[in-house]
Amino acid sequence: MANVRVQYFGSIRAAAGTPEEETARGENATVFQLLLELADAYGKAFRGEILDESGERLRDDVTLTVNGAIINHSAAYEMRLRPGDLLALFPIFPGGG
Amino acid sequence: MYAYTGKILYIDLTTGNHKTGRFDESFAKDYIGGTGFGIKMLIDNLKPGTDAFDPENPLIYVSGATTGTMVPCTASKFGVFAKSPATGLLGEAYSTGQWGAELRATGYDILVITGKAPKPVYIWIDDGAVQIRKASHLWGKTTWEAEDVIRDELGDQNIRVSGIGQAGENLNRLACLINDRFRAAGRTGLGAVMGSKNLKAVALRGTHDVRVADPDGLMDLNKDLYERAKGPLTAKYRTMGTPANMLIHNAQGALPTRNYQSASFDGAEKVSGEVLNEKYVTKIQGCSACPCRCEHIAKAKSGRFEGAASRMEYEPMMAFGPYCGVDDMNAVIKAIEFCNLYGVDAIGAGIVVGFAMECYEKGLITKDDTGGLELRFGNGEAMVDMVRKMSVREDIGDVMAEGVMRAAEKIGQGSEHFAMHIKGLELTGYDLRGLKTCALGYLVSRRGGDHQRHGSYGWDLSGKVDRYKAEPERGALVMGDEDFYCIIDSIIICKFTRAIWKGYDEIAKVYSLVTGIPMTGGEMKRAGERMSNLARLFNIREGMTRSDEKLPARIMEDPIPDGVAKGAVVTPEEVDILLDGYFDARGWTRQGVPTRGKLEELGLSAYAYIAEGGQAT
Repeated sequence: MANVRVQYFGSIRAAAGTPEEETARGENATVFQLLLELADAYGKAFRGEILDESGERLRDDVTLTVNGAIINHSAAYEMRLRPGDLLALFPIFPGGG
Repeated sequence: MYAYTGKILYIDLTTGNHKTGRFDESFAKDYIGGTGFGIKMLIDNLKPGTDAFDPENPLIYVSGATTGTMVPCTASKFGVFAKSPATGLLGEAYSTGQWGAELRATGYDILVITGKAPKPVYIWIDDGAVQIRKASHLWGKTTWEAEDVIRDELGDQNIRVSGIGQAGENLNRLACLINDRFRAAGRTGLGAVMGSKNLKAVALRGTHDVRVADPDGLMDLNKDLYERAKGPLTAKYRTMGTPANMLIHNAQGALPTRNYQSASFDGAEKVSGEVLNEKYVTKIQGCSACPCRCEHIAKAKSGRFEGAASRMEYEPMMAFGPYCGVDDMNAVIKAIEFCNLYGVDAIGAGIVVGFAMECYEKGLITKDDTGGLELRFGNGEAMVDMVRKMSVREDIGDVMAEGVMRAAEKIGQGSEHFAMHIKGLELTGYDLRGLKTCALGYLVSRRGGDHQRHGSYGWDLSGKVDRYKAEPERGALVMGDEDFYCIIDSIIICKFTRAIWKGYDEIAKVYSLVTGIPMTGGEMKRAGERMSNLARLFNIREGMTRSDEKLPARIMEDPIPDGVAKGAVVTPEEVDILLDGYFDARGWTRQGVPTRGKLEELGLSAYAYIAEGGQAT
């Protein structure tokens, strides 16, 4: 799974410390396995932003898109990214106001 | 019962008299506080068909069930209700800061203001003592100036003030109530109701303790709630806060831009939460008894608006940024500051200015109308000037102060097509064309075009449903959201911390620990449904029908032109699918009317006459 691009938004970006990266992590892994590897790399704050208390599931209020299309969380456990894919991670916020 | 004072303060500004009423435990259990109290008090205290500016339209302040206690992120909340000058339906808004806790400390849970003073006044409640004081010297002052004068003349800088600026005085239908400088009961034009009563403000000082039923049990649970409120579930609010939505919505093709002419903005980065935090935020502060502390206070750095200061959230930033095509953060901060000073809904005002900009660019209004302003998208200075003009009803601002629905009716020439409102309330910051569950939430929202009564965008944006698909099953999702939000807004829980709560059962447990009133999660859920039904009945009584539940023409006819959601639109057929599914889920008729059986089930038989088109007996 070389050369997958990963974009981070909002508080997830702040926890990752970068807006975007290209990664070869998680070759032959699912989206979720890649996210676990990223959590290992970026540490506690990042992990807290994307995983629930168990550390084994995605937080309900995280959005994943692949090439601009939102993917269901359940798909993240099955779906394997292809070289050149763009994975983006977004927190969901109430609107404010 | 504990926590509740059980007392209602009625003030009649026409006569200058006041009296105290009481409510009992069954009222408290059925309607909880906040939303429930507000809807119940409004439907019982408003004669059907009363105009929003009639003196007999009651302006009702309510505390939440746990307001004034140590329950985190609930202690400072209050709600305000009246018939809305914007929609002619249920007017409802919430605020936070310090004022709500102070209300309960005065010894009252509910404040009902009717009548109209012959000259400007403000209300001063000092513990149980009530005074109606002259305010002619405050009329024409901004909210901040008025608060300063009131505190000075009463000799206490810790007095809490909820009041209006010039927008409310001028019956601007977007006028709001400002408290604690940066906090607003913002939507549905309740500031204009206050202004119509010749009332400038309500000032409070209270020393009553709020006693809870089981301090030890509450303390144990509170420790856990505090930890959760300080933990990862709320970290995003403490760090960047909701302004992060700017780039998030932009990337998802959900960012209303240039009056909905696009769903993404090429200048989004410049008015993003990231840039705001890096360059403009000067202070982060919190509300009473809140461990979360999310208020991002920003200052304009340069140019004509240098020094302007405001609390920043996504919605007003969207409204004065992308929505007006403005990528100058200084202008955005200044426009929001003006909203706080003049007392006008900072979401609606931006949507109105965006509408005016499109009217100007299409030649429907000219420089003669704008008083010389070059009111084009992207002109931040003109945008700021328009906020002032709307507030004081100067030039075309007089028309725009009526809100986009009425302004479009006056301007005509096809402007109705791009007047972005539902039931008279301007839309908020989610492009509905590519968020179909969210579109249903907005359609049926009891206060009009709004995201805060349901939060249904979560289904679309989380990928749990197909955001582009309309199907009947979305009705049950929106219903569940609405009823839960009724409870959130009755306790009143800050929505930024709603994720820390483990559903109805935990909320019911806290409620019982605080009030001593036994409550199960199931009963709490039923109370939420009761409130949703009662609100529906209020709106039906004021003349709302299914035909009022419609989207702006642009949402249904102009597909998103670019970005990841390109081509998305909500068709009239999809609207029908969504509405039918929602009404079925509610157990209402396909015309959106609660059935007698449903009302009996919820203990609302006394209001069945509304559903049946009759009169109260």
